[in-house]
Amino acid sequence: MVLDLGHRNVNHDVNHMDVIQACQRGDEEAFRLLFETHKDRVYSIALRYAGDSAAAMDISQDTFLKLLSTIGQFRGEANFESWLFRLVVNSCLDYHRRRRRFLPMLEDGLEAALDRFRAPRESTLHNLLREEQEERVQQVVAQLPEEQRIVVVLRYTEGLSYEEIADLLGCRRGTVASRLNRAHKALERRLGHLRKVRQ
Amino acid sequence: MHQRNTKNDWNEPELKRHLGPVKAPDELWDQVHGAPGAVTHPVTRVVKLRPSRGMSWQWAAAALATVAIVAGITVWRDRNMSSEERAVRALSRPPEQLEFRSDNLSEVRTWVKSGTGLDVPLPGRTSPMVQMIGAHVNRGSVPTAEISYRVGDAHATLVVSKIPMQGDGKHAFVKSGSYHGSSFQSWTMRGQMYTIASADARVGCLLCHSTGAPRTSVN
Repeated sequence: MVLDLGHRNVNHDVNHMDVIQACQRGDEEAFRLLFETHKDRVYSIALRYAGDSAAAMDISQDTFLKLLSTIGQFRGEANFESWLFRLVVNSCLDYHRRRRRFLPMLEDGLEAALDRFRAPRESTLHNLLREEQEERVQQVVAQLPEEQRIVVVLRYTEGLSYEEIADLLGCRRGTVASRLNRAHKALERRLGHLRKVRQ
Repeated sequence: MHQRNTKNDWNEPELKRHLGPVKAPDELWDQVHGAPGAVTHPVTRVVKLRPSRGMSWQWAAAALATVAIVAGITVWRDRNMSSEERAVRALSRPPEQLEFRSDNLSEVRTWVKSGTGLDVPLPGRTSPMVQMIGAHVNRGSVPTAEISYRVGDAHATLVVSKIPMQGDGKHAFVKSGSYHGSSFQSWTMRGQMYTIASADARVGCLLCHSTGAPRTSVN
């Protein structure tokens, strides 16, 4: 299945096969063009998945290095963006595996950090509160199980449909729906107070 | 929205609001461009970082074939090496490269037996000039024991390997001569081939005979 992601904000000139082919020939400018076009989306997915900017930088770097090393294999049968998304998803999952291997205690540390945010606060500055909330949401999302987290990020950061997510992850649409539903319930438990704040 | 859950309705706008796209930091390009192994030519980098699966198999197959050929040649040479060649090669081994260093006859005999299964009845000290240094074993296709001696200022080596038992297994002279500038004497005894190599034939004789006169060479 070829994903149709053309409805999103994409510079179709850059996605044109000419640029990709130039990149395959080793044209550094072409690679820079691809990088500039897609860096925000790659970084956004990485940041929302990993929950911190340093990890997001590493994941983004890994993604673009994978792109650089495998672009010779891209033949244009699939949409370039969906191909790139697969690279990002793989880098995110690789990051998760490395993190799980080397930092098994991170979950506890994160939980403690979240407890600090759970303490009631009297906000004085709206944007400060918003920043806190954003950070909080990001951290809670980063705590979700891997398979739920990637679905949430692809859904809410990239706005992909269930079908598109299913195709990227190589699973069925029903699986995506089920994972998203479980993620919603977990987020409701952890972030329910945000609803009260907004009310 | 699919699978909408009333309880989770608030999630959608909140998540979209908080998890929306962000701008990548400017340093990201520097990090990508400056990564170890990052080069100006992407296609070249393909080969450096992640060779294609096809190439990997080709290289793996070539490496495997090379290893197999080298191993085959080694085994073939090992099996076809003459006893005098083994002994003269062992003679050139520096004492510090011996696996087991000892001047105790029973210790060396036990160590050799445990390493090769060869039981080598080592003669006692036949002359004050003779001193055992140690032993080395080859556990390859032809288990071989090399026992090194210092005889005065010279060296001598006794090499022992298994052979099919012939006759009553008594001491039987095989040959003597010179190989690559070193002297050697070979004999068989109890299903084992013995070869002594030394720079001078008289030195080798002293390992077993206090007079330096081999009894079997005249057989």
